[in-house]
Amino acid sequence: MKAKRQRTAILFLLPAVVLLLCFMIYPLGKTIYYSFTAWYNFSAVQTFIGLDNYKDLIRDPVVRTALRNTGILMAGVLLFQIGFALILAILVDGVRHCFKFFRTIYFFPIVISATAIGLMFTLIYKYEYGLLNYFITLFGGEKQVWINEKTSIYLALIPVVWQYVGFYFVIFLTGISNISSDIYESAMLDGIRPVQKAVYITVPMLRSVLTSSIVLVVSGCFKVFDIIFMVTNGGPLDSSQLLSTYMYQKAFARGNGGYASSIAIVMIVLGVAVTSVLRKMLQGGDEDA
Amino acid sequence: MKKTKKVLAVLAGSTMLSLSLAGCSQSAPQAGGTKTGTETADAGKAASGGKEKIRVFTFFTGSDQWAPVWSEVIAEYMAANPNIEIVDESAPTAGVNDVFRTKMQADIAAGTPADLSIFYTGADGKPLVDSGLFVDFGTYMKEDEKWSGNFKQSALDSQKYDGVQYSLPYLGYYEGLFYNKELFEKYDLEEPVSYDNIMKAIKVFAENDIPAFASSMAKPSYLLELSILAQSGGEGHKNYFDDSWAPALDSIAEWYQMGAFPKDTMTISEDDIRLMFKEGKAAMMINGSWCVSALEDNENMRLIAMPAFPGGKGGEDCVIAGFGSGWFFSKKAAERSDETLKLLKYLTSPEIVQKFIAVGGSSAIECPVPEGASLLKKSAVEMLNKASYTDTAIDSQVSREAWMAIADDGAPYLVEGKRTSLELLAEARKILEATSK
Repeated sequence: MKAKRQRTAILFLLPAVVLLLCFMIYPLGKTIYYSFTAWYNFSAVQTFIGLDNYKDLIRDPVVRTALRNTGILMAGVLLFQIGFALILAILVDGVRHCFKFFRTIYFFPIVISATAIGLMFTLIYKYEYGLLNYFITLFGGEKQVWINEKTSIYLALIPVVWQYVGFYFVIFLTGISNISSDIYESAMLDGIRPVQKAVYITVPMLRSVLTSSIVLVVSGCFKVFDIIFMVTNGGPLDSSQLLSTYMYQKAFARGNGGYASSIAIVMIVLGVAVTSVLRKMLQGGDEDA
Repeated sequence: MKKTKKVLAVLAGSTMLSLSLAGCSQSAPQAGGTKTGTETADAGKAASGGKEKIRVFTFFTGSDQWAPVWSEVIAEYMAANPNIEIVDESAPTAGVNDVFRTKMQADIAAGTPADLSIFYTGADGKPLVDSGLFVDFGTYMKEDEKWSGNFKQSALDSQKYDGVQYSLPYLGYYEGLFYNKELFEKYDLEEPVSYDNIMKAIKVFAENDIPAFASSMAKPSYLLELSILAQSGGEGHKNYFDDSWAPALDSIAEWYQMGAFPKDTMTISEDDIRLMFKEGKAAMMINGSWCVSALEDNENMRLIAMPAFPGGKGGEDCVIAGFGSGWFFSKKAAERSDETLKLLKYLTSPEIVQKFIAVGGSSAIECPVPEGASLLKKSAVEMLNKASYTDTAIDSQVSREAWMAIADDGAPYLVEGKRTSLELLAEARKILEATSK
């Protein structure tokens, strides 16, 4: 009976395993292989060149910029995405009226596609026909070139943060609603103030939710592509390049599949390493607590 | 058990990142052509109504000048042939993000190109030929000489790969220096028919806060192509990335330092460039025949060849023109039925081509010249007639990555003084050598 049950379970699991092998494990293997080859224009010919792509990658200044930008992105989303989402969730939880209204408003950007958001911010930042410069000139000011070498990554960060604040806001709001009201009531009897309530009760009680959110946010940084692609396309002078946008450009705009594959592998390794370390650090904190 | 789960989770997550690339893997073309599931689904007639679906891929969409004509032409065809449904998969080619090229690359890698595609020829078309997914037109042209006789022989010859006709030329292009006569007159400047006139114009326009050139450093290909031709002339045009091209690149850097380009030249899109010039916010624009239809209503617009640079060998006798794209016909569609070929013959008939030419460009098919040409079009014809040397754009002759080393990837660093022209040319040569192996 037990063996039959196991056979049935395996039978149901098999399709998923086959799909995983076809669409995940096999492509991963191929990407690893391509990263050791010179492969141009998606031709059928790949020439094995050993570690040459990786050596070029170490020397490539754009890769260094992309790594730095990924770091900036991580810091930005941790600080603003998680930070704003937490503050908003705590504030909205304390609101007696219009709860649903605020929840809908803050969650709204999630349902807009990243490409549309990217396009919207492109129209905002444009020099000649942009919204920001329209208002500046309306009040007699001089038009500004908003996206330049120094500002590009920070300006591209704004829509990235804006899009997902609502997502984490809803997660935190759900987490807060799961905190037992008894704790709040007894604290109120002791005369706790709203700020103290948030700092000493809500945030510590949300620890596990915060941990998962932080891991999600950080690992998500390696996948950010569409908004940067739309707003800056990695420029000017590669100043807002991420590994993902650089990989895309190398593969599809320049036709260098081998080099792009090596960038993809670096992204995978970094993504897994950073996520694992972060998870370990945060779990270690949990155990201490 | 826990460890296995972790390994699986890590593998699953990480593989997601690699999917986009590895999905583009390509095996060598198979002889015999065993049909895959996708192929069978695509190839058959639609379940309802028995209509045959013909997938067509072009760049006649979005802001492309020929987009309205294209929509009209295929709608007329479907109305006249109720058994046919044309699935228009066209993608835009203008702008910083070239979706058109990406889509074709993905289709080729997946082995599922559209039944009929217009795509770049030359170096860009080589992967299509190498894929073995497209027919050789030779037999079809011999079978119907009335149809094939309409094509200009020189245009056909320009699209042969090792003597084989894998693509059929369609609409030709030319590139040149557009200028707004009104702005030159307003600031009492001579027209930009010489390098000295251009330099004087840049200075005067910069003083008046007007960009001399509507041009983007994020996509500087046209600017580079014409500058290189003006420097190298016909003689050195095919010495790809030779150091003799350096003065042309240096001139662009000098113009940038003089304030010749829009303030947001590092990020401005191609569409905005064209709009800026059209609205008279910039005095000159280096671009191609695809811009003519949008500009010809303004009688002050003119088009000339780029004047020779100091010590250069180019000038008004050198022009970039040709048939940089052509029709590719998939083997799968050819094996399925004659309907796709019938559609291709309709699209390449003189009557239909004339409709496209009335909007802009030149034709690879003998057809009557549209009446009532604008002053801009007349100046374009004059430019082409003066030229004794005509060649296609360099970016269609060399590998994409090599060209990008001096264009999108290199030009912004060059004009900012972070890299020299000789460094960029050396890098491009190195890439060209690697990609030619």
